[in-house]
Amino acid sequence: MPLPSRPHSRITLRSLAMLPVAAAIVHLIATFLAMTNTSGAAFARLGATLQTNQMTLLAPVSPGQQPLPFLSADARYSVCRFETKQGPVAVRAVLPDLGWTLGIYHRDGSSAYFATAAPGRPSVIALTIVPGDDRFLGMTPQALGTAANADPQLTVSAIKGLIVLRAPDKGPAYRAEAEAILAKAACVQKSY
Amino acid sequence: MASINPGTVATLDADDAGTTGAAVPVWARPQASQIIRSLIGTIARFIGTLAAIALVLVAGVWSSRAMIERGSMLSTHMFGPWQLWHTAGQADADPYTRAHLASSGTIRIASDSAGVFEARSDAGGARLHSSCDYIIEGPNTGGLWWSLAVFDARGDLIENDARRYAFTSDTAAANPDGSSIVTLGRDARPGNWLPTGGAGRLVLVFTLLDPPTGLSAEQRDERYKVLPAIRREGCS
Repeated sequence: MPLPSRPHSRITLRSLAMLPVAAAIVHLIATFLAMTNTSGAAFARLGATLQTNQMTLLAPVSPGQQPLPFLSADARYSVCRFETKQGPVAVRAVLPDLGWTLGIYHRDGSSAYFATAAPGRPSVIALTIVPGDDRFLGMTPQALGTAANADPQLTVSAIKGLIVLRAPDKGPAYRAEAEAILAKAACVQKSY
Repeated sequence: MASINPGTVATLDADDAGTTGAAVPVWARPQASQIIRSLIGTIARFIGTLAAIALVLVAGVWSSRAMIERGSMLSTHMFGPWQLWHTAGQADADPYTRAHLASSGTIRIASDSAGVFEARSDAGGARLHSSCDYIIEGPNTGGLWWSLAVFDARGDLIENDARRYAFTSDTAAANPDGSSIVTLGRDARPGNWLPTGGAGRLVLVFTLLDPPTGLSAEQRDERYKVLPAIRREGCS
């Protein structure tokens, strides 16, 4: 006589169909975790070497001094690690010619703001980075009854991140001038 | 209570047998072979469950890593050998692009301000390698700023005595028609030569800045049809 069947031991079509569904769920979780894990992001890699809210001119990129992967040696970089926890951060930079760019990046590397230079004329970038939430940032000059200084009108929302000013390397004859312009760029914490 | 006769059948007391009082066949008796079979079945089911869980985990994590590191149709566009992460750096970037930037540690110009293209193979589909020589013919970009840089597979610059790691629209010698030719190889050449040394696998990164006035999606698609051609000359 045959032995009684054991249905629980059989591989059913339903359990087979569950495999790709479960794999898809694992895929989504892994992607989400990778997205939120910023320990390998540019902010984490550069952050330890930079002072907060202060523009730093990086050394020329070379094989021995390449702070980030795929960071090209075709440019000089001035970088600021900003943090708006204590107040807004004012950014001021000049993009004198084609190829100059200014980027503001969140901690995960996504861009909050990006500007490129116009050909033939310098572009002055003046903006304020403010925290994205509803925190109280202090009294405004208007509320305090004092005259507002020439505050930039453009605001960008971000809590922590990097400001990267990029100057194309046109060759030795232009390097000193480019470095001087990079050194003038500012990233300063403001107080109302 | 059940009592088992030494004969061919086991009998049940009325209480145990319920209303039937039927005899239980001898094959229902747990014998050594059945116990072993049951044990093997349990172990097999356990191993099968473990294998299924492992398969699910490996498939899910591997597919996620592959789509994050190498890109897929969801997050990248291919223009010949050139790969573009089409929402890189943008606020509405897809999860794979965000994870790619977060894990790779790169800083990318936002893709709505520039095209940043990576090539890991030549026009024929063969992997770029430092044992081969290549000619990269770039079109006239109409006065827009561009850059062509070469890295090893990890994204590191390639050490060389000439200290050449990239050419840009400022530093490359252009042809009379505005196009440019950059050569890639181990041995020095006249013109726009980028040394590759013994780096092994190579990655080319071509950056093309948008005009300050910006580009529409149609204009951008049109422009990306004309990207540098990567032709292999020969390998040693």
